[in-house]
Amino acid sequence: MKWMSFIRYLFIFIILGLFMFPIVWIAMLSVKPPQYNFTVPPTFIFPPTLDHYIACLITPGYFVAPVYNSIISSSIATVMALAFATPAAYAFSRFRFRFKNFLMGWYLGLYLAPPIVFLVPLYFIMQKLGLVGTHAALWISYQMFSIPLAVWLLKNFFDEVPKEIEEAAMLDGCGVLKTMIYITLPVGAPGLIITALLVFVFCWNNLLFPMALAGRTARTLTISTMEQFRMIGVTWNYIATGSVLIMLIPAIVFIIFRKYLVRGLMFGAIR
Amino acid sequence: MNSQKLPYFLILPSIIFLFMLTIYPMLFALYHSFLYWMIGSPVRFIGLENYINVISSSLFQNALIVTLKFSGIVVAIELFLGLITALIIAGIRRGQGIISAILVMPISVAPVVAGIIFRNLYMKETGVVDYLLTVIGLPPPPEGILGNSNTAFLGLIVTDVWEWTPFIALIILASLLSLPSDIIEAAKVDGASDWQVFRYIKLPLIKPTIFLAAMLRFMQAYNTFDIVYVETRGGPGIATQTLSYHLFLEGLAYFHLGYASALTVVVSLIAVVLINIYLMFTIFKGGS
Repeated sequence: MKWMSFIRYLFIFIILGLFMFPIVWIAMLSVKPPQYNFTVPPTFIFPPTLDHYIACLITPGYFVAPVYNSIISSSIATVMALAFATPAAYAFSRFRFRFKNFLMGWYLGLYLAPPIVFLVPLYFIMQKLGLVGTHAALWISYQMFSIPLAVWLLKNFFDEVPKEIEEAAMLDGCGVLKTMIYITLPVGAPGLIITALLVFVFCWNNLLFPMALAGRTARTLTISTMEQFRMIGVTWNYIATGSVLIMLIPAIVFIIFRKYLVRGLMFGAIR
Repeated sequence: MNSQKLPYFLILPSIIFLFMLTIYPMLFALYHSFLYWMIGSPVRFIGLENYINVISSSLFQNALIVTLKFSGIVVAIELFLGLITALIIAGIRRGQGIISAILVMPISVAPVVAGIIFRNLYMKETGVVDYLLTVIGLPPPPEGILGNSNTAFLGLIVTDVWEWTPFIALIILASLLSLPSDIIEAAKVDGASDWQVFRYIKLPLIKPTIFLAAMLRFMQAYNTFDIVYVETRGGPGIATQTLSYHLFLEGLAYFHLGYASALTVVVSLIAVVLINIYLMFTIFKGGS
């Protein structure tokens, strides 16, 4: 029995190693002096350097402006998504009404549909409106997946707020809307914060939308990192640096809220 | 405001917004899919010609096959590896918290970054994977892993499997840990072996979850774009061109508006079928 559990732990160790290796590898590349980049066999021990991070920070247009664009567009998109999704999620959680399942299915369908099918026509529409290359093009288009995601995550959180609290408030003469704003939302605040962070991460990680709609002026961190491939003599260290910057926030959010994440991203399939 | 109308009132703003964002573009695509649209020549109505062009295009047929093959293979591998991983983790007593914290990391990686990482690992001659393959006596193709049709396709599969196997594993782990322990204990008291407990008690109970996770992953794999764009650009040739990537090229790189619009409609229709199958098994299950 002892050695059985030893083998289990050994297996787990190997599995975790395999899943961690690519992340560790790119993180190492971001602090590697360039002469160690392309050695055969690969180099794992080297004097680490922060040169690439410093270079990316001080070179104008490399990372500072794109990080700013990413933060602005993702934050506005998150605030908007929550503003639209909170009342909708509350309705789905608290009321029975006609077309409820149909509507919830419609939101989910939008989230699961290939985004490119909306993006090709949307590009031409945004172009006509003169929005291509602005932050607005990004935070507007991000709603396509942000609102459905937020509605589904929030509905799960509202479902867990006990109805008794609301009933007490209503007995004291609160209307439905007042009850939602003063009772349910404060009690469900942790859920709102978690939802906001997850929506932010999905906007932050996006490549396709800014590729189609950001132009040069509103290009995000994912775009500027990809642009490094077009430089003469691909600078892998800078690409790795950008990759680490992209990974940082999502990794922290996902690790802290992993419990909600797995259930939330199954969209009602696990009850 | 009576409470009959209130739910609709709460939902309406988001519906209107999403309608403008999705239905309007869809109608735009539908309209243009019936038009001939080339720079330098007059726009005219051509009926179903764009659709015939799409269906008979070898590029579209290739992309459809690549996409379905890719989705089917990654889902099968991810289910198998995810199930094994979950079973191993469910069997230990300590450290599940930290293990799931590590497992969640690949899921958090932006697909574009996953593509970047593996593009580096697959580099010709100097890449880690090339090195490892040479060491174990399986020399990679001389044109590089991403330069050969078969290995490039495999390379994309490995990228997707790396990113999403932990997701499947965590889902299955969650449903394994929520199984009623009294039934399992009772079976063990009656002398059932570990394998029998798994085969006849645990597996039937977690089967619905596995099935739904598989369908969810299939749909996400159907949308694959980022890793193709970063690692192979659909190449070599058109060997790894997925439907999303094909549509991206036609619509936003070549600006073949008529063809791309018809393609948009076709790709959407396939997605609608997949999504409805998923919905049938989730929220429409048993009405309510």
